[in-house]
Amino acid sequence: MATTMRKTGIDIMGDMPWGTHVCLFYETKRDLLDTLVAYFKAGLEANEFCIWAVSEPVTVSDARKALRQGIPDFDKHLSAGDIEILSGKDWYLKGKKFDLKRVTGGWSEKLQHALAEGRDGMRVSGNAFWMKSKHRKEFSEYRHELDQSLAGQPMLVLCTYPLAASRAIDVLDMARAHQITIAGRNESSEMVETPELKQARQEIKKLNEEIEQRVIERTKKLAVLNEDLRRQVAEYARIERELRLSEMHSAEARRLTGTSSWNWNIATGQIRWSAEHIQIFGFDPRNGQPSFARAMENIHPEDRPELQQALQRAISEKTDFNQSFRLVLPDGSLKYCHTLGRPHVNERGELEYFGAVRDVTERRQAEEALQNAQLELARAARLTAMGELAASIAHEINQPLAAAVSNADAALRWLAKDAPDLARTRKSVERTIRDANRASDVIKRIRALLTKDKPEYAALDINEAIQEVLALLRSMLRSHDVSLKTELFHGLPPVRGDRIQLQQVVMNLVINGVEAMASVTDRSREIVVKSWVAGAGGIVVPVEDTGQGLDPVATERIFDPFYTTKPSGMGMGLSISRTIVEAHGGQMWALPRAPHGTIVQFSLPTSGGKRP
Amino acid sequence: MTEPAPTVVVVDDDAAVREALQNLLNSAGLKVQLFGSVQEFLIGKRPNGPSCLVLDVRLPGQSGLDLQDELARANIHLPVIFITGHGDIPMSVRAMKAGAVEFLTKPFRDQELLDAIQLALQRDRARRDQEQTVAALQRDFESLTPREREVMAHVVSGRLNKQIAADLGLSEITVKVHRGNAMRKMHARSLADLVRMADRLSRAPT
Repeated sequence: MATTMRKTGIDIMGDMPWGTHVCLFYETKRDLLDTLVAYFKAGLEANEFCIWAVSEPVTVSDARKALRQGIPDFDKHLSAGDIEILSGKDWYLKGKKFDLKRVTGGWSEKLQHALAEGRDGMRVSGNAFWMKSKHRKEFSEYRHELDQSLAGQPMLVLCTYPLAASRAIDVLDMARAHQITIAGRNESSEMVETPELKQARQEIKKLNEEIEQRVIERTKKLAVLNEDLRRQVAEYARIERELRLSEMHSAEARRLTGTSSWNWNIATGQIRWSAEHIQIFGFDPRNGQPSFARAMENIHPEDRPELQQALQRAISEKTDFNQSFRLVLPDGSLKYCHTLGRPHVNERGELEYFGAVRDVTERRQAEEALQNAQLELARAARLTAMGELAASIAHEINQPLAAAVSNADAALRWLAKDAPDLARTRKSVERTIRDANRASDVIKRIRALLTKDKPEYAALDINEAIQEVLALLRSMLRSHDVSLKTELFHGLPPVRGDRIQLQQVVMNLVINGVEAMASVTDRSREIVVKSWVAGAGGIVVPVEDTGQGLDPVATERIFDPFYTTKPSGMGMGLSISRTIVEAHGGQMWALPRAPHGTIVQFSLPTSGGKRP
Repeated sequence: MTEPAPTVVVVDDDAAVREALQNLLNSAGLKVQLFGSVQEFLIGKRPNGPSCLVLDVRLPGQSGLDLQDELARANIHLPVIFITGHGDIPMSVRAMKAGAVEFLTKPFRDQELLDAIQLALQRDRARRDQEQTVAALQRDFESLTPREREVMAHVVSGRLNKQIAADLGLSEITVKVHRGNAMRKMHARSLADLVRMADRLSRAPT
């Protein structure tokens, strides 16, 4: 309020704040009228209620006349009650007596009235011409009282004093009593301000400037802030777009890979599943988030304990987990799933897990189909190999059969003698039985190789398995003029595996070796089958030949399907053999043999080692 | 003259088969010699009486068929009977062309083998007889003087005494004496007998 500046209408003063009390010393009546007309004109234009308490030498009509001349629509203001012209004598000295309370109360009343009428404030001019030295004391009290009541009020007061009638002491006194003293003399004016007002004005000016500066600065800052906000809003919009895009991508990725995601706050037990997750588990996403317990119900009862243990272990150790399980859906169908989870401590220090579940049913089915196909292929390869070996195998059966028949014939002849030779007869019959059993063993082995197709894993003595299969191959080796040597380590630990499949591997390697030596004429053709313990928990079976050997390219490729160095080969033998060995947790590789030939060998874990 | 007992030589790498054959042949009263491989047989002592070979076609190192060829090259005339676990036609044709007595597929009837062995032994005997006859003739022929051999050669080619005398620049009487000596030394009962003998000698290996 104090900072609200009013136009005084007096050039020399310019704008003054409310509450300013100005003292005007005038020399001539003209000076006085000119100053006051300008003063009131400014007041009327600024919606102030104006009161002019006139005193000698000015009369009420002088004042009205001067105002009417100086203010174009003065009469309008007058009739609207914007201005009141009073006789100073009547106002100050009602009943010939100066009543302090009445005068100050009167001003106050006028001001309240003006404010009630919606005016900005009140502008007053009074003349202290009535003041004589005998009223000095009362006047001083009045001035003091007036200053008190002026403070903080929307009111301007201009007191006029005739310079000629004032003594020097009066002038000094007045000047001290008023904030501003203006001396008007012959149409020129001088203004004297009290230091306090000057300072206040400067202060106000400075404050205003500061405020203006602050407003500018503040505006600048606000502009910067505004810009920041705009940028932030844009950034949020971008982030939101990216999030939406990212969520879209991740949803698409989840959809394409049959993967779903979940988030599990261990502390609160709250779980969030992605829509895909809910679907994988066979729930309707429209029914909201299923509970952990509800989801567990759909897990295959056989897999539930293991999954729960894995979860508990991971949570207690705060480690990743990685578990396969099956789901039994309400319609009874089975799904194979794999889940991965990773721990994360959130901003509240709570352990959470983020994870993904993948429906691997199709892959699982494909794997099973592949496994079946491989088994079928292995069986077909066995059949093919056996077909190629048919002549040799027939020989293997015929040998003991021929022996058996001959022994039986001999038995009859020993009996038919004039003196039957019973000892020789008995011996012949015993030999017959032995030979027949040998033939029968061969047939059993062949049947085992031909008919079995499901692998049966059991602990077995690899040396025994090797010997059995070599017995079937002896005749084939003989017909190819190949000598066979075995260096089997006695007392090998048992391996875990399918006997027939491993025998097929040995058979393939031997047949391969024999075929590799087909063109060898300048040295003996030899197959050496060995076995030994390799490091901890493993055995190695090398099959060596004295053939041409393999070039480095062939060494790399011989295990590829359909790769063959032989004109009649199908190229499946070694590929199948390697597949079988790897399914047993072993490895198969080839290396050159010095001075001639190739070694193809395979390793197998012993049954104490890794399960196939 | 009593000939040594016939011997059957068995070459088979399968011990059970070897044993069984020995048992069977023994029960038929035959003497048997067993060998596990061709090498063993070639190193070993061969029987001097009538004998035959029972050979498995497939043998380690050297096959029965190869052995047959080798024996023929070495002029060893042992009759061969092949036994095989899985004989095929080309194999049996080759064996028979090379002079095999029989080609038997295991398992065979005992009588088939024994018949084949009898036949083989007969052939061996006949061959041995023939060899012995030729050897006697050669001994006789070697007892002739060069002039007697000369006269014999002209006689068996159908020349008359007079012609021979003219050819050799001898008297007819001297030719007659040489001719009589040759007939006596060769134990020829007639001119025809002498001609046959000369024919045999000419075909016999020297």
